[in-house]
Amino acid sequence: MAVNEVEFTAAEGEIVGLIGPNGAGKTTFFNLVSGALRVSGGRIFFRGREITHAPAYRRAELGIGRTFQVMKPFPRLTVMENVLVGAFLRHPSRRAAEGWAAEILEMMGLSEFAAASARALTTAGRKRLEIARALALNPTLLLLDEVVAGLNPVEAEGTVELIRRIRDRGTTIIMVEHIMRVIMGLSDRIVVLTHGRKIAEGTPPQVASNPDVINAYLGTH
Amino acid sequence: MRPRIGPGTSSLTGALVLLALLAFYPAAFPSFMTLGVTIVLFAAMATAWDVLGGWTGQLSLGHAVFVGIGAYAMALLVLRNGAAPWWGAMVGVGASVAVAAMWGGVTFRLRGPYFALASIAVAEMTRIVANNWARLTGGAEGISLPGLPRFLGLDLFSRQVEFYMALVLLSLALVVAWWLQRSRFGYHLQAIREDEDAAMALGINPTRECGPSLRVLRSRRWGDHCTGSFSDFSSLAECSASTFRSSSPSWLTSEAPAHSSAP
Repeated sequence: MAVNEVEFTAAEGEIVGLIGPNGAGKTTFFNLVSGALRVSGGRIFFRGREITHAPAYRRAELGIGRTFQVMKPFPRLTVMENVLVGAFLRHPSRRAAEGWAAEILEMMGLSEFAAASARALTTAGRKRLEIARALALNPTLLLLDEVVAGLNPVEAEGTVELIRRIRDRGTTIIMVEHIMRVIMGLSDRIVVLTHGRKIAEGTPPQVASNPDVINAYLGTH
Repeated sequence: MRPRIGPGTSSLTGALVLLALLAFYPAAFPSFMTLGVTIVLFAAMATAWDVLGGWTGQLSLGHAVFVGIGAYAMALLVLRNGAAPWWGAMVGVGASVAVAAMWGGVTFRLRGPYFALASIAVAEMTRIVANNWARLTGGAEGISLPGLPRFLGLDLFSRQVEFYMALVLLSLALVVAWWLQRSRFGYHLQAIREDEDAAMALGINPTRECGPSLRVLRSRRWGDHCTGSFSDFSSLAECSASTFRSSSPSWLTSEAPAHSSAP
């Protein structure tokens, strides 16, 4: 079973880090929360409402936005149009949607690429576009799947700053990241998965000193 | 710089130039009117098909079903009820939309080759019914119209009239496609084509969005029927390997005298 008996709660406005070795079930967990995969057991609640069997588009309507570990831009659309697709969910009028999309692009530092094809963006640009598209939904909960991985230090620092700004707008964030310096610095709380099970939960210092976590990452002698 | 949104002006200009050039076709090639009508009708139908196939990436191989149903509905109403062809055409649109809604409701849950296979199945079932329900459809011989009343003083069997009506249809199809592509609905369809998982994560329900795209296709067919060009529809049907052979009377495939009756 890819994810089993994982239970935790994210408070509004909190950043929760989800870490674990490769294959621990982090992305699967995201897929379950966002509705990309169906759960075979257990229940999922979002703001007090059960969403266990809600389809992905319904969860997006309710306010769950996500990025994908393997980026999924709409390559034949421009950067602006990519964001516009999400903006239409909250702003049915074209003019309002365009205004909202432009605002998101400005926030993400993508305004100058608005007219460019999404496929023309660099890796860092595409990662920002993933976040921008999710933000266009004006989500209450944002699931970020390795949005810093693969970026150079300057780009990574910029993305970390962006994530802080998103949180400061009141958005709850659950993020998966392998770069410990980043996730430990950003998260209010860390949840650790291994082999699909939760093995630890706590503040970054608590988790960093947890013997089970050290064992999961480094193994035993 | 204001970002580009929707189709570029170059493609719009190209379409306008093409339509303007086509307007001179009857004067330039009066001996090749059947070819001209066929080309323009196929262009209109391809534009309509593009709303589903091109924008959502769903390969439908069964569109002949709707062409045939629309054509039969009009012809039967004209023949048996003495209805005017334009009323028959509207009923034809309604019948096609109803079938599209039923078909889409079931098959739009399928993706890729599964949807394509399902579309072939629907087309094949309809073809078999059409070929064997001879009392209604005329079976393999089809049905034909003895004549049509004038529409706004125009002879609907005139090749020139047919050509210009087809050109109007093509223009309408292109305008609707252009408008749709810039609309919320159009962007949703394109997002589904690009990546369905990502589209759903943005609140797009593929089943809900694709259904109207199928119906948009049908609703443009009225103009086709007004031209009375059954033959062109059946050609499309044959191309997609799911033909209504019965809807291919020869009175329009040849340059036969107007109002001739059929095969």
